[in-house]
Amino acid sequence: MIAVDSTDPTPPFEQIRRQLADQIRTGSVPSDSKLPSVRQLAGDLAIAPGTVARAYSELEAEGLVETSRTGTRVRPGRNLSTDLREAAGRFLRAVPSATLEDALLAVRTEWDLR
Amino acid sequence: MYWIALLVPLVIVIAGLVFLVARRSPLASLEMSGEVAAAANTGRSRWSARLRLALLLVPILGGVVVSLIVASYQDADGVDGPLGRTSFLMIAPLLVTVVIALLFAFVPRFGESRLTRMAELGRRSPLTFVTRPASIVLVILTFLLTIATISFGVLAWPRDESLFYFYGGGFAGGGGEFPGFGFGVPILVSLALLVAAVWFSLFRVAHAPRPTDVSLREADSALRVLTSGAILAIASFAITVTLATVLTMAGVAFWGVADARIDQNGAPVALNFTAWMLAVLSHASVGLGVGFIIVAIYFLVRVISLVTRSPFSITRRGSVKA
Repeated sequence: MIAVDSTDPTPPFEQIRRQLADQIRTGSVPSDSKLPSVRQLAGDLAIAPGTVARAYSELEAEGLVETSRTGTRVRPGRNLSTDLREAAGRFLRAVPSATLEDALLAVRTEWDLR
Repeated sequence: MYWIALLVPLVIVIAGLVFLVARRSPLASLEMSGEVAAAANTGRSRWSARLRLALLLVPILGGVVVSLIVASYQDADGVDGPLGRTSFLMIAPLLVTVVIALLFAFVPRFGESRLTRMAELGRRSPLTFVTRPASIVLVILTFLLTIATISFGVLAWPRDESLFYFYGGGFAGGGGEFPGFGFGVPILVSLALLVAAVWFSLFRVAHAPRPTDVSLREADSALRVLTSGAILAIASFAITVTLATVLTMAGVAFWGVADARIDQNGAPVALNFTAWMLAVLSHASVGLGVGFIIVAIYFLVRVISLVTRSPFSITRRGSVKA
């Protein structure tokens, strides 16, 4: 699912881009799956087709999706690997009191020491 | 065979009464309350109003077509045969269904007033709300009508749209009107139009904006499933009727040739293998034609069943279901 909040000061195209990027990276939207057409998504979200088109073109520039004549697809290999997600899950279970900032700092510190 | 045409209004009246009297469960039972229930009720009443309008236009359109056909047969100088009134009679079910399929190309909006809109990431296609067997049946029927039309076109006597067959050293024609390309090309063009209209309508139904609320999405799905099913069933009905007409017409022409006593030169014709084959083909074609009329009646009943069925019922959230 994807949502656009009209009260959010973030522009609608950025809301769509961010949610799609997150869902592609976490694997909620699988590799090689087709995204809805610009008109379909714009109709369902009651926004202009140009807004969805802009979000798609930004995702394409990031290398997360590719557009062809048959539509927009998630590029293969853009999802987080299962190993990485399982390791993150083990970390969170081991230190349930850690905040997101602490967790990111810990990973960054270990990354620098590597 | 004209008595068969009387079956159509008879089936419509009987099936309509049966389905109106029968207490059938709605397609979906939804639990909702407040604004969502009001939006669902509004959507359903809009859908019913448009459906009633479409159903009102069907007998008007059918009446106009029947009147035109009857008027053409009253005219002694009217053009008969290929591209004439018989041809028009044969393509009338397909052309009327083109208009009906387009009339069904609607899904009402539910009128939600929400600050946050949500959408599914699944890509919808014209086949999303269609059951696989219904779409496969339509494809098979389209294929059968195309094959039958082309096959009979190849067999037909090109000059006067009668059947030709090899006899002795040469070939002869006869058997009355035969569904050759003179009849077949208008049928194929009308069939292509119908396929395009069905695809367009299914596309419109699938791609209309979906509501945000989960319960409303279920209600919306029920409307789309019913509408798409009705479009496919009515198209299947028209194609089956045309197929039955083509096969019956061919069967009668086959019999006319098989039963011939003299050839085009006036020489007596002995019963030979060709005549025997044509007699078998005649019985097979007429038998298949009658079979397809029964199938067409099934599709007609299915259309009536779908358009008279309630898409969903609403139970107040928290109340006990009956």
